[in-house]
Amino acid sequence: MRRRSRSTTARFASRAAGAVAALATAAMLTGCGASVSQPPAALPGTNGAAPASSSAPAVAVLPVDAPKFAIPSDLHLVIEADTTGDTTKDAVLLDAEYQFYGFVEAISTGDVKDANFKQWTNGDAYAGLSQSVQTWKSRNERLTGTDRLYKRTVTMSKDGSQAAYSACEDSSQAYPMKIGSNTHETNTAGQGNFTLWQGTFTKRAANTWVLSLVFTKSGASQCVVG
Amino acid sequence: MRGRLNRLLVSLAVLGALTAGPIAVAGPAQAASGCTSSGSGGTVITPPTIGGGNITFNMSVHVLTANVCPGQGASNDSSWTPPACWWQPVFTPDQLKTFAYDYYADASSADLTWAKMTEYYETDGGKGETTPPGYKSTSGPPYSNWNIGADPGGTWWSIVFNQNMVGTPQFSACLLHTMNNDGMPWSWVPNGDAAPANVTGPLVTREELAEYLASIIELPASDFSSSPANGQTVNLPMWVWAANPGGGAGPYTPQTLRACMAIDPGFCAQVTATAVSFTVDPGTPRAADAQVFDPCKISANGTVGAPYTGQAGNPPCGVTYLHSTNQGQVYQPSVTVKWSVAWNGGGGGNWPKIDTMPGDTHQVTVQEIQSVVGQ
Repeated sequence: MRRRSRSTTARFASRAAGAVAALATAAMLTGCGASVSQPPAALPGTNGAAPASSSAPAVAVLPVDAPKFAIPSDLHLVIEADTTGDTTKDAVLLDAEYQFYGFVEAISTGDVKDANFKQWTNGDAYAGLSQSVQTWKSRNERLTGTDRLYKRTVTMSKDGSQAAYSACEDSSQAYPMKIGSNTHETNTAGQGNFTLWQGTFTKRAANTWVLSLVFTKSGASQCVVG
Repeated sequence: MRGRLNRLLVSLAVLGALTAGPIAVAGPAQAASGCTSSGSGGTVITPPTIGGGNITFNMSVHVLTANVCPGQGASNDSSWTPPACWWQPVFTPDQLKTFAYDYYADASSADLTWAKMTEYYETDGGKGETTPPGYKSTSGPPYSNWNIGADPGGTWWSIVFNQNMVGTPQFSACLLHTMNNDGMPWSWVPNGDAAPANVTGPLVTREELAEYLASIIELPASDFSSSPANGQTVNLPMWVWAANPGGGAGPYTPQTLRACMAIDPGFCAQVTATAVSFTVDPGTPRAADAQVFDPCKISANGTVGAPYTGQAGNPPCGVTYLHSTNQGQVYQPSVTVKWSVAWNGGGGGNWPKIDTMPGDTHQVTVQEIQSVVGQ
């Protein structure tokens, strides 16, 4: 139940689950936090400087045989090392990493048909994230700074065909930047910089996973740091 | 009963559609509603309308609004549990084919997901333009051409999510029930049939629809009028009331909300929230500092108490402050309205649901009688 504010007249429709369903509706629905996503996060410091703290978590390094992702040189994606030791889960985590790189590549290039993006994203997730890519493109912006993923978890379905994925994203050191500009915009999202991602990876081949569903919650308590 | 939602869950508040998380840009934007949005500054992505309208609300604008952000004014009622996800009709055959080709098809790769999907929904592995003679929509799987034009008519169902449950264990559980027993995201249900037979995920029931309605129904904020407006006097009653200044029904009339699954199996649920109590907190540091005239009964037309028009005597609803406020001090009276939310179905469970709406705080200074006389 919600409290109705008497002074509020402006209203906006949001899609109730009841209403639409299968489409991942990219999140920037105006409105209340639940469906809102925010900029990807970044690390303290600029130009890729690692966190100074010696207690900083280890950072996952892409395998040598990883695909090449066209990430702008002033944008640093940091994924905290989180190997589980379980072959299947680690395969999901690696594909989730690629999925994220592919998505950021698509944002950076403004191309919803970006091959690396499509390879690891389909269905509702592709529908929704494509809209986000379009939004960046329409604003003539890309992302710079540092964006960090942490607290990544994977839970497998009984038959092993699906994996529930969860991750936190810290975008507090990431910024939108106009294409061709040398300076980035400000990031005033505050706690909204900490986003919970939850989604489903679907198995499409041996040890190959694709993100089919994804949801975000900005400012999720599980993810807020500091 | 198959697929009871409650199997998976517990708890939640408001609901939305599937939401993909984009990486948004910029900082907080002040939403029209007054909520602080941490999403993109100014860019609003309109959700696709594919398959839309499966649930129609009789007060859709009213229902599907969010002028209060979750956690900001929403009640803290955890005694009941709207669903985190369920299966429902989502696509017509044409819509599904369009969607699948837009968001799954990938001719450039040997994507097993797409290959298996076309095998399941198209059978001919091509563009699915033909339907074999004698083919029925219920002949599959495998299906032909996404069941476009096939009889009997029907809809494709899939799982839908209550995005306000993101981050909860219930929601996580839902993420592993996104496919039917054949490993496919959509199941065919002929018109008139109850639900897909080949899913293990939850199916929304009439009561769950009511749970959802109860989670989103908007209740009037608790507020009151009092007199005199500026400054109270020790030992003289402050009248407290709630009414429509223009006359007519007051703010606490019963609130109803009704929703229907518009596509077969059609069913409707309606919830009614009835204000059951209006409690005045005088806002004094000590209870002994005030005498409350209570209970403040809520009338049938949603008003409380009696407006002060100069009457003598004690009010039906109000407060008499017994001590003045010190300099710089104020009392902060408020009211809390308790609601009982019932639905038009069977009893049991956690119905009726009780919800409380804490009130706005007023500020009152209380003077000794002498200072008033001196004016």
